[in-house]
Amino acid sequence: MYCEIKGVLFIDSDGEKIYGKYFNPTNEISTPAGQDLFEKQLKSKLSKFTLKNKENEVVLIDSFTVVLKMVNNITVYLFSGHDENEIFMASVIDSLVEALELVYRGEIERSKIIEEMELLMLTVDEMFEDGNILSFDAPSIAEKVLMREVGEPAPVKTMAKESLFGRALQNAKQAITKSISARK
Amino acid sequence: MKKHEARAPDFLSEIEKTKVLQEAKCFDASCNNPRDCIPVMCKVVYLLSKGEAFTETESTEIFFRACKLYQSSNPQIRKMLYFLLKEIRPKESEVFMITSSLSRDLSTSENSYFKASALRVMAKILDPTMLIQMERFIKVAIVDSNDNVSSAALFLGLKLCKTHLEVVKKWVTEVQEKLTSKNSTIHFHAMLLLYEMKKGDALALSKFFESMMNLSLKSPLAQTQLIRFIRFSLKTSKFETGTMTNIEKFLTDSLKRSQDMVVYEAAKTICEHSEYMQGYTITSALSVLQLFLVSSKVTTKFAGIKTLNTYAMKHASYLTDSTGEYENLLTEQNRSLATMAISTLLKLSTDSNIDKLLGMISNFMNEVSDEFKIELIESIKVLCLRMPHKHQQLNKFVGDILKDEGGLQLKKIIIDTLLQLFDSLPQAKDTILMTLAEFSEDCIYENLHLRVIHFLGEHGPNCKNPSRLIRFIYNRLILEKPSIRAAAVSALFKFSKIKELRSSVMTLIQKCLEDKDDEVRERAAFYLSRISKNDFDRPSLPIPISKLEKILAHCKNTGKGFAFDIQVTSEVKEEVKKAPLPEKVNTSLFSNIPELNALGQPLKSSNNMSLTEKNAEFVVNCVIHYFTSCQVLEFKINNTLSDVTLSGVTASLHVEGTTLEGLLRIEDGILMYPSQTIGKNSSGVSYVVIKKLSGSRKASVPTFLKYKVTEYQGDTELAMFDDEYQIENIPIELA
Repeated sequence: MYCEIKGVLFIDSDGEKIYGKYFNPTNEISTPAGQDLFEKQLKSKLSKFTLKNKENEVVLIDSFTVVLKMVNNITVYLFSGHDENEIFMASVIDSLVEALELVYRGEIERSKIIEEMELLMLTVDEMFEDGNILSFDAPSIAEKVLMREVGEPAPVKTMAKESLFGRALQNAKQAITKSISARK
Repeated sequence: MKKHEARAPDFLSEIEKTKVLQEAKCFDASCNNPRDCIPVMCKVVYLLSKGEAFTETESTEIFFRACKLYQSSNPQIRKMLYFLLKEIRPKESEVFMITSSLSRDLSTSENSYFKASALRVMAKILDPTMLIQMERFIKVAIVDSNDNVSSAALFLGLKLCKTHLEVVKKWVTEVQEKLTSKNSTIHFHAMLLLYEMKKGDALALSKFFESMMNLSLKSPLAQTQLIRFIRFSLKTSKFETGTMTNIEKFLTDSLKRSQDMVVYEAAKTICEHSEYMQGYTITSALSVLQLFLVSSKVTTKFAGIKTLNTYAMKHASYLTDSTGEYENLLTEQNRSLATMAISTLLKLSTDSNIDKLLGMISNFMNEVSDEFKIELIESIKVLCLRMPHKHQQLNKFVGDILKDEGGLQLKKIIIDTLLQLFDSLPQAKDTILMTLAEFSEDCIYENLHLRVIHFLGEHGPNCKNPSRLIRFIYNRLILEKPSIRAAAVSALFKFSKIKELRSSVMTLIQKCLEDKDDEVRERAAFYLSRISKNDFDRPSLPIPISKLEKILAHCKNTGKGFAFDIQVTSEVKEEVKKAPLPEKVNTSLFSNIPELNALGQPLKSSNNMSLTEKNAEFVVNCVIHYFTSCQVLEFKINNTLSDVTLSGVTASLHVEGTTLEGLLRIEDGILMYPSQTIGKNSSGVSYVVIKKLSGSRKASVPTFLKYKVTEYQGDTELAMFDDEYQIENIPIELA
């Protein structure tokens, strides 16, 4: 009944799972063995596909609809019940990848993700709550993960401080010049 | 949060539970270095996501260590800690360690990110005692100016609705305030929570929809969700005409929105409930879906074709003009898409294009999976019934699929379909029999093979050319396993009804007298003697088979044998009734209903499921009894009121919208036995019988209790009326 996602998977180009989250799994996928089987089925089904980079694809497995997007050497999978709105799922996966790109400051790929895996985990966590959508737009997801406005410079950067000081100096200089010229 | 050491390429495979537990000791250090702690926390979550099992001691250990991290002031550590706490899922006995810290975060923390995360952890661990203390904080958090905090609080409310709805309902004013929030996600969450609060009451729900539709929600997600709520409500309840008109207008307006997901949801709703919609509305929805088919995005095309396919199942006539678009989809790289297009085309095909279509499809069949072949078979069956004169081509097509490789499920469904068509299309009988006979030449599944041979025996003699069938069956006698050979002998015998073939059948059966297997030899001898006596009718037993079965079951259960004698059996019947049964099963299970009593003892009975709250006016419990041919749902209704009586109580199962939709209907798969009159402060029982279906299905079915209420004041009757109310969903599993 709810617009919801049942799980997210991140699988690299060798078929290894980097990270996965199943939300309230039921029936076949409630056990690790069942989840393994599901992932295997996913792999075999997709071996027949030639995926285009950054384009969404959709596939049916068992009673699930799976929407996926390959980004460089990682494929992101989002799956839900077979009755779910696929266009909604496509928007969700687009937002997720966009958020990851904001959080990782650029395009995502395997080594970048592995180096700072906590960012991946936190992004998924900030987007979904038990399968329901907690945040939908990428900037707000990224903001929550990094705990600051995205696009802001990092809190401690000497460069910024210097330029602030530099600007203050400039202003002071201008003020003094003005007052001198006014007096003349 | 940066890691400076380079990772080895197979870093992930190096993560190992015992090592990680060791590394977790760094949590204890008083100056927690994020560079050390955060990777360890990641590794723990990674292991959990891989399905690694942590023993009780290990999880407790990790949890206690993690709690120590609360002392750190580093924001990155704290953020990760909240996440870790949710993933670890602490036990109830351990939760106390963090409740005070979490409450402190909620009430005093300046950092809104911490507040929001604390609320989310709370949602996972909240228990009733904590709720009383936390209620105030949650209510305040809902109207917090920070959107993250507000969202988290609303979600906490959402979770609490399942167990403490009355508490959550008190916050309705605060939640409604958030409906007008500028932040589109907040008003989406507020709407979700309000829906949960209102859904129990039909009138409140109706008003809720009206106000939501007028609100012009900004968030496309909220709009989609609202339409979804409406769609589900239309399945189970009827709205007044005024509301229905507004709903229809709202859906039509939604078709024009810029966000595809909203448009799609509206179109889907219109198609699913087309019986409530005007023709114009339906046409708009269909044209929108057809536009989706030419979108550049695969997901959009997929959504479009899926809904059109479902719609075509019942209303193919509205769609026949635009088959060109579907044909374009056949060349899609995505095979699911192409198959769905084919399925739709089949439903829409007319005489003129069916041959071309079948040609296109057969090129394609080897790439398609079994599940889709099953779908195709279903479409072909519908087609066959629609165009009986094309049965030859369709039969050949199905026969070709049968010959190809395929799993048991697929072949079984094909056989089922052929048998159904056999019953419905008398003109196709001969062709179907031939297809079945050819199939029996290389069937590898024993049960299926036996079924086919039996069928050929039953119906073969009535067809136009029985001698051809005899040849097929006879080949089984030479080539196959003993069980198949035995079945073939029985089948052959049935052909001996026909005088002209009798002597040839006799010759063939005589050859079996030399067979290696004794079952085959015995059957051959038996049948030969019957032929010589001209005895072709099915023999009748002096006692009905069901009674025989009972006696045998009794023997099996008690382990006692006795000499079998027809006269004795009637005495044994009495014994069966009196003897105590090995399990504690109620012998007079269905005391008042003879048809159910005839089912005998259930193979298994489920646990008692309670379908209402314990303090409800009518307390309903359900036990499901499983038999070989059906399931019997026994509903025990306890009337706790002392001023009403109930009569004719039934439980109505709404299978629409579940995976059982279309498979079970009232009087066709579902039989209801209403209860007798239930007096004041007493209980009664009502039954629903669900027939067994092939295949395996699971569904959680919404159930409504329907009854006639008679209100009393003392002994005088005040009023009598029909009523119904929704009880818990029932999990139905057919396998």
